[in-house]
Amino acid sequence: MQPMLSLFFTMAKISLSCFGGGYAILPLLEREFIHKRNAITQHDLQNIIAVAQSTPGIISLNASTYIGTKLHGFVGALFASLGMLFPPICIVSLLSYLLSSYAFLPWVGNALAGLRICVTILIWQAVFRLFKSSVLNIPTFVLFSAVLLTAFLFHISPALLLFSSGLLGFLVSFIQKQRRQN
Amino acid sequence: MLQLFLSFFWIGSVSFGGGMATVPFLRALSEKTQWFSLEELSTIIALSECTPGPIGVNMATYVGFLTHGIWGAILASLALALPAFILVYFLANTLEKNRNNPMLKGVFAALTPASTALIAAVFCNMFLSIFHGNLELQLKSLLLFVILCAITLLPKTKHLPIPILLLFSAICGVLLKL
Repeated sequence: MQPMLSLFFTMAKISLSCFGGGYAILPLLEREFIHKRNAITQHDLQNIIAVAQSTPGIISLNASTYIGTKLHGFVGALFASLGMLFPPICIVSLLSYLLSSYAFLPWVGNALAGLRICVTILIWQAVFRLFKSSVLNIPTFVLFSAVLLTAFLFHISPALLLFSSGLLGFLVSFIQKQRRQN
Repeated sequence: MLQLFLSFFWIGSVSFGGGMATVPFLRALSEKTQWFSLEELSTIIALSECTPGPIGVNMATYVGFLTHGIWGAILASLALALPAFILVYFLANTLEKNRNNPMLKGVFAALTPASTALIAAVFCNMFLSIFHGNLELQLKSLLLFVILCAITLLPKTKHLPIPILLLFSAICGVLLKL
């Protein structure tokens, strides 16, 4: 039980230090599990990153599940993931409660209006970053534009657009593979 | 409660590439369930950026708390984490071995720009929603927007941590609006 609890609290501690996005967690994981605990190797970490990026869901959660599995199997995965979930659940619930309790104050509404503008910019920054790493050639640019226009103008379900794109990617790779074989 | 669980289980299954990828799906969720508006979504995102922990989880917790209190918060977060947990636990080995499969790479090469485009669409909607209300309000909003753009682009200030930026915006919001 002891190593499980230790894993739980370690993940909780890392979760607490992870401000603003899953990638920030990777150096923390590196420091804790590679250098301090000597539990995994650099190669493992690269695998973790690849797996965490390929599976849907949040990167940091995927990474913690993976580490937990590597260290202590299913129970390890469970404790690691729960550890990562625990701090945000507590903190955000508290903040949400406070926010709804004091929402009647007029200045709260004004502050939120200011926040909304900032959030718009933060989303722009995320888009910009992702754009640089994912739109690398003409086909991807065309796909990007097509999805953007369809989503913005026609309100089609994002899941449908995503699945169609994945299918498209699959078909293109398939055709390329056939061409290479001939 | 069941709808909450299913909704976040779904979001947890289709969001590729980090917390922000959940945003388009959260927007679709808000349109479907009316649990929160686009404006409230901004608040949710803002809060999620300020609090420690992965963004997606913060957002799930917030929506869960809004709709069903603390149990909703716990349920939504677990629902979000569950698909990934299942996938990673059972497929970790397979994924490791097939990392360089060209077909898989092809799928992700298409999924990532698509996901980015979906988030960009949400950005467009949010940008447009800044301009509501009377002319004075719109001008003031635009002013704050321009100031924030400048802060994020100028070399001296562009590395300010996000919570500070949000705090600044909140204070400006109070000072400017009404």
